[in-house]
Amino acid sequence: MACPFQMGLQDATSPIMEELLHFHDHTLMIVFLISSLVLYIISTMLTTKLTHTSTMDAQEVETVWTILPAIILILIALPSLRILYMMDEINNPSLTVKTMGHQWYWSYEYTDYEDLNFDSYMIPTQELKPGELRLLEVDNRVVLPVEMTIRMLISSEDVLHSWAVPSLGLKTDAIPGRLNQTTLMAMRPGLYYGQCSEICGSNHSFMPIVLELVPLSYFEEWSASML
Amino acid sequence: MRPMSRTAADQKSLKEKKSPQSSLSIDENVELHHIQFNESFAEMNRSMNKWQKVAGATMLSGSFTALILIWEKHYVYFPAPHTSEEEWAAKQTKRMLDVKVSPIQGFSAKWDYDKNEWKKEEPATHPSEPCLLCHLHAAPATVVLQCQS
Repeated sequence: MACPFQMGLQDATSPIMEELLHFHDHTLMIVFLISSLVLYIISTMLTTKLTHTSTMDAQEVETVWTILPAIILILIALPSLRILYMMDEINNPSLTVKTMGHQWYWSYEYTDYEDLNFDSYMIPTQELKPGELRLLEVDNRVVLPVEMTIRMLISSEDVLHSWAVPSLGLKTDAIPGRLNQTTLMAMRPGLYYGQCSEICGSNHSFMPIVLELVPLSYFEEWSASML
Repeated sequence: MRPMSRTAADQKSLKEKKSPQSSLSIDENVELHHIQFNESFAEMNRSMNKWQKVAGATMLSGSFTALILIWEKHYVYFPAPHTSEEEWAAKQTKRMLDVKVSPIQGFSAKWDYDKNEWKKEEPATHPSEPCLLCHLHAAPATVVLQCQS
């Protein structure tokens, strides 16, 4: 989850998120370099009293500032496409979990073996136990096994929602009448928080997602207890 | 534009004065410059104390904004939720450390799980060298990855 005054992305819990972190560093560095250059040029132009009103052409600099941005864009596009294709690699998931967005809660279905369904509502602020996170805790967390590839199928029963867990690098729209798929693979056990990421009405900010990643044996116990 | 102080004929005669530039008076030199340029370099670079107006306007608008914000905090906002109280924040922090939020570079990476305290900053390993680049030679901070299983 995010921390107060955090400026960067959350630590990666999945390999894809790690790649995205490094890509973000790379792209942000380019953005900072360009912005500093532009800021410098603007400040230089604004703090001089000299003028030159008879410029007719500037072929050389025009060539440079056409070719150079093209090169920079290619340098951004290549790692981006690499990660995009990496996300679509065939990975043979061990488990499939379906999640449906509602106004204003998520429901989860684990139907590979038995029929396990439950709803996940946000815990209101007045009902939180001491130390719990305001607007982020839910009554029923999504328990999943750690270090296993899981297929998430995401859809909606009413309006658009979006199922997002930032530390896993996941954000997939929940569209009524459509089934979207994403792959989840967490390397560390723990609790991972996310929030609905598509405006869906008055309580859009109050339908969080909490993943509880546990070892496989705990997951099996939990799913048996939930039936 | 600068008003013309000499007629065209006068300007031509001034330009055609054959004497070396240093023998012309300062005023004549400045007038020669003004035939072609609006201002001399000295005139162009004169200080105008514009900064005083800018600084004053900035501070005035900043203080006015602060007044609006103070009024807003007092008359408009609801009180802060009980989860921002110190006691709750302490329990919350403990819970975040127990769950190991961002243990690699973020939140939990700064907590020393063995000593049960926040990690202290590592001192440089070359205290006898007073060079400014000391921090580049210091050993990198060791990040202990907690056993996650």
